[in-house]
Amino acid sequence: MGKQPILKGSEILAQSLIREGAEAMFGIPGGVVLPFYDSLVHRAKEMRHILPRQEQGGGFAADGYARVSGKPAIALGTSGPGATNLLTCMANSMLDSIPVIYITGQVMEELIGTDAFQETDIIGMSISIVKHSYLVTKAEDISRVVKEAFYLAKTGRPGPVHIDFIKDVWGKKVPYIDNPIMDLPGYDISINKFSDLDILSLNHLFEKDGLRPVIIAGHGVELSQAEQALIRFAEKHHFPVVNTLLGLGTFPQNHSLWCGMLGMHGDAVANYVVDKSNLIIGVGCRFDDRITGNLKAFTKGKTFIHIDIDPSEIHKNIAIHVPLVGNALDILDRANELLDDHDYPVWREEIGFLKEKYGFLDFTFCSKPKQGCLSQARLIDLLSKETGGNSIICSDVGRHQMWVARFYRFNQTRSHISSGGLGTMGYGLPAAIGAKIACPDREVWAVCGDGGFKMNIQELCTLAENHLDVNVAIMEDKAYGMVYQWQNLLFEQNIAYSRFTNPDFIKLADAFGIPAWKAFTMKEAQQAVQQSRKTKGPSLVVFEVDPSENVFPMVYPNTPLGEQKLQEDHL
Amino acid sequence: MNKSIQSFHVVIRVKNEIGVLTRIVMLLRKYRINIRSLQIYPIDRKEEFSDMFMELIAQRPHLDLVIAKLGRLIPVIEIKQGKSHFIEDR
Repeated sequence: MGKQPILKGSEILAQSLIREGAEAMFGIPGGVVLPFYDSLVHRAKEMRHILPRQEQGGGFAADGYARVSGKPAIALGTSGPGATNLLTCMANSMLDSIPVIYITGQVMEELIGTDAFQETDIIGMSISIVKHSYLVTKAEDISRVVKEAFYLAKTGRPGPVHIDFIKDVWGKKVPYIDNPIMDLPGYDISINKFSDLDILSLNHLFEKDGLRPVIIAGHGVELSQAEQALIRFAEKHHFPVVNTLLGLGTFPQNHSLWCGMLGMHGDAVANYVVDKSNLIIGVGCRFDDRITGNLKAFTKGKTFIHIDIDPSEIHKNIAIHVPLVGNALDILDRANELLDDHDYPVWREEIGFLKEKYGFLDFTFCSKPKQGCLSQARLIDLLSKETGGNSIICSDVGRHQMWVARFYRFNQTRSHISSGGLGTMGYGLPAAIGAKIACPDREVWAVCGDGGFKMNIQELCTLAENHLDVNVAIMEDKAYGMVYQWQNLLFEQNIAYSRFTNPDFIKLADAFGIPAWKAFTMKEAQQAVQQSRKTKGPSLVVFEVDPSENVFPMVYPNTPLGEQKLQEDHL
Repeated sequence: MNKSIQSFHVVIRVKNEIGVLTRIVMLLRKYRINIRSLQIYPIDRKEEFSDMFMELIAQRPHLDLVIAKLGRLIPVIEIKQGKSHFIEDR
């Protein structure tokens, strides 16, 4: 064993992060983390530091970075408000299983519990919204804790890990251990709990008469890199495939077996196929309320196979007949080896009829925009065609998010970046910053509503300062669009505080030195998209859109998928 | 589905570290499970591990989910379920 260098705690943290492969950190310096920044600044060549303008922007940027790269990212805030500003980001990463290391500073040990300046019990607050958390009080623990944090974040079901460092650890000099021994006796690393017999039992199930199977492919397919295995599995048995919101891009959208996105604002075909099916194979999905609609109707007469890495997801929302716990790639690979081929021609024919009747990518279910306003659905279709479906699209949350999901044709995995579980407005712009830093060679668009955009509008400054080639699209309808739609449809048009005024976004962009265009017609929209794409560095396009354009189909809350409302007036 | 309120005995073996009880209690709170009694003591000489004996008041389906979720907490080593008895029918 070589001689262990004696380093300060702050140097050990920087060294440990770099050792674990961290390439980018999104953080804001402040009081108790200043000694760490004093050490970090000397390591700028090894780990890029991006200064967001609010910690939440940094947290979402780290989240976006991790989604696109598949590697853990780091977000940092100081104690007190710096730390609490990261809480929404932690919850966001937790619900979507994103590996982010959240680092916060804590006041000195002697001040803990005294209500000291910028003291909060941030570990107490974050416990239920992270995979695991640490309060580090000894410099000797830093190297091991960082190693464990990265390991926990990226293995098994990925998720965020929070490390809170008390100020005392930064200055203390201790031996640096480059390869510390992890101490995680409770962490079960044997993720595959299935046997060949479990898989072989599926043959019997797949051979039943009158079977109408469908695969629901979720985010877990992407996380386990099981895309190719899923294609082979679906083709082997002629299973139709629908995607969840975060599963989009994991199955080719031009494939004959693909039936769209299911759920509250999913494709009509997908919802009908799932509603009419009697065997559901969920792969890396959670069966959450946004995809099931009314749970009783969703489960009635259906058999469920659930492939998931997290045993606590099995039976969580619905009773599962065949649970297969493990890595989706391993399970599907093994199933492709062991199982016979199957085909369901009658079911295929029925699905073909549904596709012919309801189709994809047509605007039958979209209302016509008012004079002088653009249609968001048509704009997303335009963006998809102009970019060839090859961009990374970081959507914010709201109606535009649903149109991105339905009208952008994603050619690649890890390209549809969206806050799925938490549904956090303000996510799109900072996530696009993180995505661009993770993949500088790919085209990146932030597609935002005007409500969500303003929730992290300050990150335009980060974008401009780093001269990141991110295209920002703002759908300006002067409304919290989804809220406005619900108030119109479900609250008898009682519009309560969902309309607002905006600043002049063009002048605002100009103030940041960002070129910007505004479009009122489809022709102007096309020109603006093309100009934005040609621009090196950040650019912004504002689309004047119609607030009365509602997202349809819509499955009303607690309604069966089969009773989805297709448009304003039923077909 | 059995919706009866029952009393359940569980033994949770944990890595003995600051905050481990909070992690467990917060999870139980999330699923609205009440703790009727609780006893904790270390099981090894170095006091690295502890056993938590808990009597919980819960509905059966909730408890199964919570046991699965408890198993995902990093400091939790093992969970054993003991006897249960009926409290109240709803």
